[in-house]
Amino acid sequence: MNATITSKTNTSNPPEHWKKEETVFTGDDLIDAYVKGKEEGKDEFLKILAKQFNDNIVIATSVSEKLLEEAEKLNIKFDGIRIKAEGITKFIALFLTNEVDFISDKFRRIYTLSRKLKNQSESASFYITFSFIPVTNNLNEKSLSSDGFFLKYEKE
Amino acid sequence: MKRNEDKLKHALHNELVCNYLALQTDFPDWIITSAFYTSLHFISYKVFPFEAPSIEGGKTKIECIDDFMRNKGDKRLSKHELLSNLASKKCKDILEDYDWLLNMSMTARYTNYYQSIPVANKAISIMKKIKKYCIA
Repeated sequence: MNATITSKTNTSNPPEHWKKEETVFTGDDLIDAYVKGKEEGKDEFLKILAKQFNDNIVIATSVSEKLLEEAEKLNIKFDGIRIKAEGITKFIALFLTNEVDFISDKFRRIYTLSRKLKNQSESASFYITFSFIPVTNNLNEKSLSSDGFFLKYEKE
Repeated sequence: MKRNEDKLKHALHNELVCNYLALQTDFPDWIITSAFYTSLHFISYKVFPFEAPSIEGGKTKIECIDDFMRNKGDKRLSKHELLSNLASKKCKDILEDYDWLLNMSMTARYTNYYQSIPVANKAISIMKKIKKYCIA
């Protein structure tokens, strides 16, 4: 999307417990504007798109936190969540986990839950994919950043 | 409808590669990748062909993921996501297993392509489970 975004004030803050990663490359002007905290401009169409995007961020973060809660009930603890947007309506939530849980039989239940949450939240204006990654000490932050993972879950 | 035997041949071909790599301990990343692409073709063998309502009306034969992408797919989704969504309807018993392998394939770059032997072994066992389900 090639939209002209004017740099004014920060009007879009992430939901509680989430932090913006401001050095990411998203390849999308509207998403960039959100990440960099730029105002969406005066254009009515852009305002509508920006509102849609903000609404979808709220959905993406809340369903991700829901999966986090459900995983805790199964004694599966995630070490973090990152979110990227592939446009205004499509999101990917990447959950960082440990290898022991990841290869255990109980992790199958996480895929069942994530599919359920994905289907429940899906609409013409919102789509999310949940992804999981076993991490030791080899997380490639540069790759995450260049792929546009702009939100990070930070609740203690 | 007659299944596409070429898909099965492709799956079995990839399985040979996966089994060959598994004889050694140096390539867990490629074991996972080959297990995924073996499973993808087993799933395709199981899922296709089928009939679906066509855009123009009537019914059309969907023989592969490319047909599905053109005729029915949500344009936001990749072919991998579409196949996974098809598996959620037509291969319910092994959906979580396929999603596990798909997930591993999609996220490898975020761990510098490092994978451990236990994760590779899990990928092989999942692939064998998917094979058993799909060619039954």
